[in-house]
This record gives sequence, structure tokens and C-alpha cells, in this order.
Amino acid sequence: MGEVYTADLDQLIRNYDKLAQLSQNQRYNILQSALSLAEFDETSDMMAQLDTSFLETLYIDSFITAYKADLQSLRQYIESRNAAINKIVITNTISIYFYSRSLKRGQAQQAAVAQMRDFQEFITHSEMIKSKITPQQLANLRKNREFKELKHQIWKVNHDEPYQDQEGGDQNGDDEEDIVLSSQSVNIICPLTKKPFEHPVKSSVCGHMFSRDAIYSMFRNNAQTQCPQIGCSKAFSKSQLERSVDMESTVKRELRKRSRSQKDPDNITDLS
Amino acid sequence: MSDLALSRLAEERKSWRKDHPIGFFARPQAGADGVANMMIWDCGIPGKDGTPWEGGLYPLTLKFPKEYPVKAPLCLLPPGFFHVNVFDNGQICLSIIGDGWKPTISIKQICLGVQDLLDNPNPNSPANSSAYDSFKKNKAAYTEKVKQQAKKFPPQES
Ligand SMILES: [Zn+2]
Repeated sequence: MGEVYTADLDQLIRNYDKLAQLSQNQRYNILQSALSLAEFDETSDMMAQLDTSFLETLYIDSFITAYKADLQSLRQYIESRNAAINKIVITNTISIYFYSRSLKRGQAQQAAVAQMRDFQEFITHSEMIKSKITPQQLANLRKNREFKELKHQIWKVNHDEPYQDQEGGDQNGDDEEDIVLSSQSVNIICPLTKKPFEHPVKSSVCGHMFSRDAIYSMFRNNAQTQCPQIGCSKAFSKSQLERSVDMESTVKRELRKRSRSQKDPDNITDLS
Repeated sequence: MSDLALSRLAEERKSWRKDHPIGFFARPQAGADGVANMMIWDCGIPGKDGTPWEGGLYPLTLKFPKEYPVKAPLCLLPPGFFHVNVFDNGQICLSIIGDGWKPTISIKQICLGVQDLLDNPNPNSPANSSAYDSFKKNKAAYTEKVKQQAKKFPPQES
């Protein structure tokens, strides 16, 4: 019996990972929309709507994280079999829902899993969750690091001066530091193509960044490649290359700045 | 032919034009039809002042393989060049364009690397026995030979 349970739970835990991924993708899409919107009108009402959608995904994330943690502890609990299963304390409602459901149905846990696989169900739940979000919770979420990053990136579209955090926020200065670092002038040239990054990817092994196609051509038929950065002795595989969303928007912003200052005599294209 | 090789070489050319070390030149070879061959470059490497190499502008040819920048260019000085690390056919034995090649190394860095090698030969990997013997056993004769060679490669219009 225990084995069946843990297998189901593993499936549920994996589903939560997928949900977290979906939620992250959603934030990425919101970021992209916000960046495009900022090019036209950074003060539009739609921007405020995007802000709220972003905050809502963060809110849902906190549930996903909590459910997953509950499931993991439930799993640990079942494995240890130290007490009767129905005495376990589960703190949030949806876990209880699935948990009681699988208890009631006995052999029918698979059905619960199948339903959970259907993200539609979660989306319905997220609507429920979203409808319960209070203005205070929303205000608190504005202090979230990811949200600040979003606001900062949008700011960079139209401003050269440093971003002023209008959300108020914390005194410890950590976020402050992030912002100062990323507003410094950044090298947007790929060391392989010697051109601005196209589809920048970052090696998770050493942090070096390259244009995707250029670094892919380094692999040829090998699983791994030496890092081409001068002075770096690390090797990595394709799966250790991560898309760098941050660099993507930095490149966009820098190129936009450059095209604005095209009349600048320092910026002549060479004709010789 | 690889797009990466050609587009990278075009960028190398741009960046060289924008900024390059004084006294050097580097440009794609003009083909018979007058069209530049991006895969072969002619460069000029000046000997450093205050060394016996001073006064010479040494012709360096870079031959880029189609796998460039994954593979290093073949770097050639004139055949019979007198240097400890240069083979008879002119091929240069230098780590940054050999085992130590990195696809991020620029043409400018190659040129500076070759200039540096001129007066800083690496006796641990000799490629030219007469230069090596003379360098080891008779420094005065070696220096004289280097100075004579410098005269054979006067700076040209670039
Ligand atoms: Zn690296």
C-alpha cells in the first residue's frame, strides 16, 4: 500500500514542478509583453494590469511551493510509517483535498493523479486563489525580488538613470545591490561571434555567455566542449547551457540606445 | 563554408579597422579578381623597439580553416625564417595558436602574440635547429643573424 502511495505522491510532486515551470513561463511572457509595451507607453493602464498578473503568478507560486513541501513531508511520513496515516497534519486545503480523496477512494488514487495531471483543474484552483488575494497581500508581493526585477527591466527600456524603487521595500539593501550591479554598462558582445549576443546562453558551470548557435557549433559531435572563454578551463554540455533572459533584454536595450544615438560621430559605421 | 567563420572574420576586420596596435597591419588577401579572400589574411608584425628585431616588419600569413573559430588559423612567417620556434615552411609553433587555441582569441591577440614571441623564443619547443643551436651556444652570432634578418623586412606601405 505504501508503495502505491509514494508512487502517486512522486507523480504529484512532479506535477507541482511542472506547474512551477508553467508559472515561471507565464512570468517570462508577462515580462516580454511589458518590455514591448514599455517601448510605446510605459505609463499605460495595461502596464498596471501586467503588474497585477505578475504578482498573481507569484502568489500562486507560494501555494505551489507550499503544496509541494506538504506532499514531500507526507511522502517522508509514509515512508517512515511511524504513525497512522490519518493523523498527519497537513496545513493547506488542497493537499487535504487530494489526500482525503485518495484515502476515501482507496485504490482509486490513480484517478486523483490523472485529474491533477490535467492542469485545467489547477487553473480553476488558481482562479479561486486569485479571487481571494487581498490588497494587502498584493502590496506585500510588490516587495518580491522577482517583481522588483521586472520593474527594473521595464525601467531600463526608456531610462538611462538608475532605477528608483518606488515600492519602498526592505532596508537590508540586498535588492539595492542587484540593481546597481545590473545598471552598470554591460558587455553585450559574444566572444565567439564578436557581435552582440543572439539568443544568449549561459554556461551553468562557469557563467560564461555565448550566442547560442555559435557555442552549439563548438560541440560538433561531442557531448562536451571546453569553454572557449580565454582563461577558463571548464567544460560543459549543451544541457548545461541556459537561456539568459536578462542578457536578451540587455542587448535589446543597448541596441535601442545605440540606434537612438546613431547621429553620434563616435558611432560611425566603417566604410573604408 | 561556415557562416560563423565568415561572419566572425567580417567582425574581426571591422574591429581591426576601428582599433589596432601601432605599426601592425592585417587585411584579407586580395584575390586575382580583386575580390578579398576573407579566409587568408596578410599581416605585418613590427619587431619591438629595443630588441634585435627592431626595424623589421615581418610578414605573417593567417590561413583560416572553414571550422574557424573552432579551429585556429594556420600562422605562417616566410619560409626559412630565422627563429627558434618557426619551422622551415614558416609555420609558427606558439601555444595560443596551437594546443592553447581558444575560439575567442582575436586576430589582434594573435598578432601581438607573434610579436611577443619574436624576442621571447621558447627553447622548450624548438622548431628550427640552426636558430636553436645558435641561440643556445652563441648568443652574439644569434643576435647578429636576427639583426641582419630585420633588414630584409623593411616596413612597407600599408
Ligand atoms: Zn567558462
